[in-house]
Amino acid sequence: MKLSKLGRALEWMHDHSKLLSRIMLTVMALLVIANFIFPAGYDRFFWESWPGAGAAYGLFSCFVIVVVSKFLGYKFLYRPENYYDNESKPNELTGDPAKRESGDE
Amino acid sequence: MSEVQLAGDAVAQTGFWLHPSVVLILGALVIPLLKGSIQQGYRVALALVFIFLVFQTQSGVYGRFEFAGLDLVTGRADKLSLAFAYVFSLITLIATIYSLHVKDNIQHVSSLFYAAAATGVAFAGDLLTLYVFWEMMMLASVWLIWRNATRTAYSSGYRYLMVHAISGVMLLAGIVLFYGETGSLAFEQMQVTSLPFYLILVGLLINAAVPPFHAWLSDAYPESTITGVIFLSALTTKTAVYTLIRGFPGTDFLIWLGVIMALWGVVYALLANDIRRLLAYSIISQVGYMVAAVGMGTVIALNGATAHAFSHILYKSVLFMSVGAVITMTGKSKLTELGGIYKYMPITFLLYMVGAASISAFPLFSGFVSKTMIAEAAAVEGIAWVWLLLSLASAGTFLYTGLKLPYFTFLSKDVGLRPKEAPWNMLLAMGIAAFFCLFIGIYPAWLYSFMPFPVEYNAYSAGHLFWELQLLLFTGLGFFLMVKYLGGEHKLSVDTDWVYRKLAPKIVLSAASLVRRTWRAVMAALQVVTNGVWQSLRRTYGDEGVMGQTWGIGVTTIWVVLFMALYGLYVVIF
Repeated sequence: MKLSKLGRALEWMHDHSKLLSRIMLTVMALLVIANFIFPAGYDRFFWESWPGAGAAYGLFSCFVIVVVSKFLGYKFLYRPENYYDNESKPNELTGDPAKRESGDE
Repeated sequence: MSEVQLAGDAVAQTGFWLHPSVVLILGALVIPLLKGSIQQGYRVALALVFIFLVFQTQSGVYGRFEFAGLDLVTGRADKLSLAFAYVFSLITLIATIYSLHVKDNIQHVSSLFYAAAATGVAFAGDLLTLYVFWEMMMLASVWLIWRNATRTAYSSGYRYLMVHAISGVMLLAGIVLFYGETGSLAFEQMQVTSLPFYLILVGLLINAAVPPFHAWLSDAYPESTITGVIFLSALTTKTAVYTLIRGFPGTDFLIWLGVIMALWGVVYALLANDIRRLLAYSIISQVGYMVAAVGMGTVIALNGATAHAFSHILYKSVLFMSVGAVITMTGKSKLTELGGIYKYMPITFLLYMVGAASISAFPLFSGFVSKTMIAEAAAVEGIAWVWLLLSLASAGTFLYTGLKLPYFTFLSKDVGLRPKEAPWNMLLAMGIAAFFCLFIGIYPAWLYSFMPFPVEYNAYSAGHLFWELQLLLFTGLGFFLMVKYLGGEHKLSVDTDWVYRKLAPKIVLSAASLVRRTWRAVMAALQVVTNGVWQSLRRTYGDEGVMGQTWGIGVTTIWVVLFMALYGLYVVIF
């Protein structure tokens, strides 16, 4: 299938994702370093004046969210995909009337 | 919390005012009479007329009349109601363009009725008008779910209707009691007056999808039609937010409800496999910010709630529209079945990313100038936990809408899908909405100019930029470190709708079976008794019984002759 120009540009980026991720990591490092040089200027909460606090909290948040969500999922919330399927098959929900009448449901 | 008065800038106007909702409703009724490109042109023109009527409305009180001794106001236009009406009218045009190719008059008419009703709620100056439009929203919107014409859509639409019917009944009961107590129907900030206050509040909270009353949203929206969900995601929860801002600012416990809501949405969105269900949970998460802001009730918080509702409607529509385009073009709606289509649908992909950057609150995108306002309100109030938890939810938002969904839908492994790019009308609608996302992010003064209170807030301060950028980029780092645990799974997650989808049927069915068994046992016991009576009767009168036997003719003749002889003897003797 023929790709559009935009599609090809994105494909090029996709193929060079190693390079792009290195650039991104450099930018992120520079961002934290910049935060050391230029203070955020807020001190309503004590952590707001700490340089790099956002970065630390971002990593922490990501980790907490993934671990807590997956824990809740596997422990309590996950069900098979057909869990609610009986709703579209009324007989399975209320029991087969024929069986019900013979009393051996 | 400081008291905030919203009323004030609406003064009675005597001028003629055409209610935009009435025009839209009457206009929608003509749609079924038209066909083909004439109908398409008419629908766009109608949406444009609607936008024009909404935007040319000046602050004031219009459409005031007496009905059965009640003072009704159908057109209370102040800055708050206008902000919501503006964005409702914009989204009506965007969603109309997006659904231009759809040939389904029922959907077209009901979606415009729905938009008209939502705008009617925003303009309602009294509780009765509000209630009428509230119910109209429910009745119109359910068709956008049912017209998807699947069995699951039918049953989840029915549940949607039931839940909203309960919300409507609570609202109505609250309104009646409120009128009884105060003698007024005016819809202004509610004073805590016990029962009516809470009845109305719960009615509104159900529509705002606040846990545990939120499951109707994540249940029904993913089952609705591809185009209908744009209206759904924009209107119902946001009218509820509007009514909360208007009626219940500064209700303390809403802060915590909002925070719970924001985090609840994050957890479920992260577990979701269906891409529209993921986005539905992200609505719940985002509305959580607004509810928390209403709870804070300060000037900056209420501005933040309004601004966030405004930008939310636009960026969420971009997300739902691009995901809808993916579903239309590939026929797949699960993360586990998608992947590798970015180069075949590059425009859809990039527009999705604009929406994702907006919802994640990246600088220069709309979410940044509205979401940080709510965080700022928490910071000004000095409520650290709220601030931290909302930041956590913010990281989560980026994690599932900005990373998980696009990564596993568009990038990730190539699963062999070769879709074409979405049709032009879908791309155009997405483009318009994405334009607003960027425009608001780059020029927030436009958005701030129609907030309910004057805005003295600068989103682009060094502190905000550093915090948000670091938070988001390092969340991204975390994502790529844990990416192999984050793909979709062939599972669904049970939510509070389990109560009425599993538990309640189980209780009803076991109650039914208990009644059936008891009835049978009683009947069996009765049978034993009647059987006993029957048997004893049989012993006497039955075939073998003394009284039931038949005698031969000879014997009978002898007995008859004997008795006649005795009778003859009697006559002769006496």
